[in-house]
Amino acid sequence: MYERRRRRESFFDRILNYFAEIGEEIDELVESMFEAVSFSRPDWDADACCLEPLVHVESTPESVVVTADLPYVENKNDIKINATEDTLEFTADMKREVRFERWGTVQREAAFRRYRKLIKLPEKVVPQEAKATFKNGILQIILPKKFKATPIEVE
Amino acid sequence: MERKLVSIVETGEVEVKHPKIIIGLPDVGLVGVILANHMVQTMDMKEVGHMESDLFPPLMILHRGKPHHPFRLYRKDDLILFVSEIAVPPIAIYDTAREICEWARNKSASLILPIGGTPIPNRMMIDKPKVFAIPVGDEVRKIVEKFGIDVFEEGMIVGPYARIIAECEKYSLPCLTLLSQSYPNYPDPGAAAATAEVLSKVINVEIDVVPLEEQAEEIRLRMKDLMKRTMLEMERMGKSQEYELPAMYS
Repeated sequence: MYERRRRRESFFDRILNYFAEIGEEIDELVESMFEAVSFSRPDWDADACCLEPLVHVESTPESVVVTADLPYVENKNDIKINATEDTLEFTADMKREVRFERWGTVQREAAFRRYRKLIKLPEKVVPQEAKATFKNGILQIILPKKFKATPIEVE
Repeated sequence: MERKLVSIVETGEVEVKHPKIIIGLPDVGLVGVILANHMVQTMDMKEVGHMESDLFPPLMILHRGKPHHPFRLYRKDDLILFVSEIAVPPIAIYDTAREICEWARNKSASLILPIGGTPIPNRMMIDKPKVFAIPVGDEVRKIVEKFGIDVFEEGMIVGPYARIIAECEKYSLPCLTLLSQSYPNYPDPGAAAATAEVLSKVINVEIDVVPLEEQAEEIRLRMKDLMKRTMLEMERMGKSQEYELPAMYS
């Protein structure tokens, strides 16, 4: 009796694991679909006067390094950065408004005053130990990884 | 007559004896495009043609209510300049390079000058980027020596310029590729200014770099989306191979 229940449990466990795996695959698929969709949307928001800057995310053995090109940003005090274990968000105010006139099909004007970017980090980081620098218009944020590699000795 | 996959359409006067041909295609740091656009504006160069191909993205640029092709030719005196606002798709690279070089051969070009960037990881720490030369032909090597330009000695070049170099080698066309150290992923007017100083000596034409420096922020912002598209094309063409260790040894 006991043996049968255990076998039945393990059978249900397998079914549950199977569905959990399918669930993860669906999550990944949906996530990649959203990434594809987000790529096709404009990287500006005229109502919020915001532009998305060019960013680059790189993973080194020790940390995740994020850089962003921020033309028209002059002072490091105009940059606000927030990070969690998985995400990085920053805004940066431009020293002056950048206007685009007679743009698009409705002869619209757009003015941008700041950059805003939300990045999903490729690995978990320790936000409290992150460091940021701003030089020559390039913002660099170094976020140490939460899980660091363990060295293995060759026998 | 068989239709070419990529063709040059002349719309203005391009009959020049032994022209010098400058090529600014989207590449690392958009160095060539930034410099070519700067020359068009500051030297009052005239549009004399464009390149067309079914392999290019189907787009036209509207400026002051007038349609413009994204891949255009300009001229002033004996200078012809190619500039593109579309990254050449990998499928069109061979035919684009072939067409440019065939055209240059027919015009008996005295020098072909592809302008680009070479990625450097710590670019933000460098105030004045170095410019490297890839000369094709003995006469061009003499020019490089005369002006003391550093030669790109070992490594790989990937993309349209690699094919232009190959075509120039094949037909013994004088070619001098100038590559400035540049941000890999960001438009780099500073790298374009560094190249302008070298190019100016080689072609013996004054290029005012002050506006390039003054408008650097505007250029970086306006070139943002072209840089993004160029990054995608560079990824597709295997541009990262430029980081690889050279396999050739002696």
